[in-house]
Amino acid sequence: MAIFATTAFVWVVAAMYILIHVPLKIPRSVWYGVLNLGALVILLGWRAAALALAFAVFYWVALGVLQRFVSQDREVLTQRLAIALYASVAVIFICHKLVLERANDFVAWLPFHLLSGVSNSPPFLSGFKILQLVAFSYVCLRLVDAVRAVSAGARVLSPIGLLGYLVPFFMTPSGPVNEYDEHVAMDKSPLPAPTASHFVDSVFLIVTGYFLKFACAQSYGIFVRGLDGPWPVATLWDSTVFLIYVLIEFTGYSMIALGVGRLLHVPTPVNFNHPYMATSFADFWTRWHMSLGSFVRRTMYFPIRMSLSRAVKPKRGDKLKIHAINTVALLVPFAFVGVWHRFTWPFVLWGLAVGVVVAIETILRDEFFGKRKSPLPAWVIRPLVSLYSVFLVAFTLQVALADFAK
Amino acid sequence: MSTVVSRSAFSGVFKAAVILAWAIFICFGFARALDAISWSGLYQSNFSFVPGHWVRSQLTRASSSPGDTCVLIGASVVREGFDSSQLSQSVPGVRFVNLATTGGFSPMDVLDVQSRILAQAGDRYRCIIVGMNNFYLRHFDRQSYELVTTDYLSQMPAAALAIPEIWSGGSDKRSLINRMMVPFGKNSVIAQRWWRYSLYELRSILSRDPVDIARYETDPTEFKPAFQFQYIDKPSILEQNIPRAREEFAQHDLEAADSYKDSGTKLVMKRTIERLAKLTDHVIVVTMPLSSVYRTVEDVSKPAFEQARASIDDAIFVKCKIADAEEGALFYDTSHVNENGREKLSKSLAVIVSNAMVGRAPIGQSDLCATE
Repeated sequence: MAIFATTAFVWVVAAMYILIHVPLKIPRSVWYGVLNLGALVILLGWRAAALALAFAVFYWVALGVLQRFVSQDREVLTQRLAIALYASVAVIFICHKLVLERANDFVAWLPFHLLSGVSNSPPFLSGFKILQLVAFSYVCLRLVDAVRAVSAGARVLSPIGLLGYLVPFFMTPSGPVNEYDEHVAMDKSPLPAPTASHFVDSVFLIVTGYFLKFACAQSYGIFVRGLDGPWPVATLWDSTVFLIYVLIEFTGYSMIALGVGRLLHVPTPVNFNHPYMATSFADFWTRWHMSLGSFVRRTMYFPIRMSLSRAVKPKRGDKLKIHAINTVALLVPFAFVGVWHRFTWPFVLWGLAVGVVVAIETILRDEFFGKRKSPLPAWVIRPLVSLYSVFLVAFTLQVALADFAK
Repeated sequence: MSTVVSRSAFSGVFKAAVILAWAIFICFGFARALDAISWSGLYQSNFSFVPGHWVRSQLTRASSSPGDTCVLIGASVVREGFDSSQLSQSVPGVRFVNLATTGGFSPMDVLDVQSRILAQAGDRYRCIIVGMNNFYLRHFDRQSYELVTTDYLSQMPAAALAIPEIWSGGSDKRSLINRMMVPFGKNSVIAQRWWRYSLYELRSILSRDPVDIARYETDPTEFKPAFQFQYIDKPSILEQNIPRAREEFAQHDLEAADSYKDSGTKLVMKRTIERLAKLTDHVIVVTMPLSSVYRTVEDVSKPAFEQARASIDDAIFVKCKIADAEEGALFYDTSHVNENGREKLSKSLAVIVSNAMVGRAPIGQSDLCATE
């Protein structure tokens, strides 16, 4: 998150706001990609930017081949290549999660010093900043979405445009997970003319985000644990306290990213929709980290549910099979979400726990509460449900909190 | 594919640039307006000895009745050299406030900055005492004006930042621009410190168990109240510091006559005194006592000092000196006096100031100090 705390970031955004309006007869995604590359050079250094570009070029070639298979209706080859690409992303993701957390051991036997340019300091530090970022998890998700979209017939962006999609400078700290299809669609519409109201709206989002993240969240964090102390993790109250901190901090960050995206007319999803106003535990997860939820829905939940429905072929009224399919379709993405946060067993369990609760709630809603009128008025029910949702989140978080707070 | 477009197509760029320029202008104006609001409350709680904060907190005290107040400005020799309580007791009807801080490598710059801060306050004082030494007229060190790290920036008037010497520093330049642009940027250090201390206090109130203040500090002394005399109760290190002093003389060419040929510092001294003369009827420039290791430095720099003094009409010049035989008893190190030295100096200066206040001529001589 340090990138947002630098004045260089602000000046880069300001410069890009002017430059993005330069009327070149090239696709918007390309021009934005060029500017984004410049931003990465300034903010992360040329080595990190070069590595990111090399990464994008590699996958641009692979996606290009995939697109050719798709256009030639070569289904088997399309499937195999898509699976290979997914597997490569998984390997990179695992490397990022496991190996880089033990980077000193890893670089001892790899020639990273050739890329770092600094001979007497830990090699990975200067050359592999891009991999050090938490956001590399998001790069993996974007790559998966790109493979999915191209397999379904979407156009492949140019190499520089793909870099702009995979590693957007203003989403490097912590996402959100922007959609490949939306990014490609950027080229279909002309860049709107700048207006004062649009500028003010975007800047308002950014400033509010900075206030939430650097004033509110930091004050809250300092109040609870001092400048750099550990988060208390012993009790349910502790996990609730921590959850509130994450909400404020992540909301603030997401608003900054959203504001910058809007300012530069880069498709950027909204990430939070008042999760504390959730109408159920399941509804909570459609309001919290919405871009990740949307990603797992389109890449895991719906495909798994469809595949299982085709395989099992439940009859109408066969509630047991329908609920079983739905439960499996829920458990897999939630388990993935757990692993995606931390590659540890506590987080796998946390994901599964959340999936189980959502599944049970869905069953109860469909079987018992769905069409019944509530005995209590909405103004009573609503806050109770919200409290219950937040409580459940904090409760499930207890499963993994000791690991997450490290 | 041609990438050339008509001029009208660039209207989007121009419009974006205009919008951005307006936004920067409004942001800058808003930041200046916020700085114009009194921050006295923040600087009354003075945490640790940060030069800019110390000046502001002392200035806040002086501003309560400036007409009855004599302010002392200068570097650490003045900070340690004069006890404002003792001076106040010795000169009836006059209150003394010591704004002196540290000198760094260019103490003349410090005097310049302090004088600008005083001028910005806009008050008129009973007297202003400027403590300095001849070797302050050494040529400028390009590492001077550490406005950001000493947090003098938060106290400087915006217009003063137009002076060229300020931009001779390296990384300070960018920090200066950035902090001027952001609301509360100039006072961010003290505001942030005050805010963290408030969080600690709130936590202490709400917590059943004692809260460790160290968890809220960036360093162990951060929340300790600032105390003027940094060397109090410490044993003398005069002898041990002599070799180090000689090393510094060599490093900064203090014993070389060429170091004092630069006219820039003389001009700064003249302008500083002239600026102060607009704020009071009595500017008293005190040459502070130094230990005998500085003998050559004082002799070599004296012509430059005399030259600067000759161009100044608006001040009384006083020289304070401690005899070699007494320096062991009165100095803490080679340039700073100890408690005994401070007591004697303060009493001596009090006599000079008293005479100056009542317009008694000649202003005279006291134990350690005499007018020149």
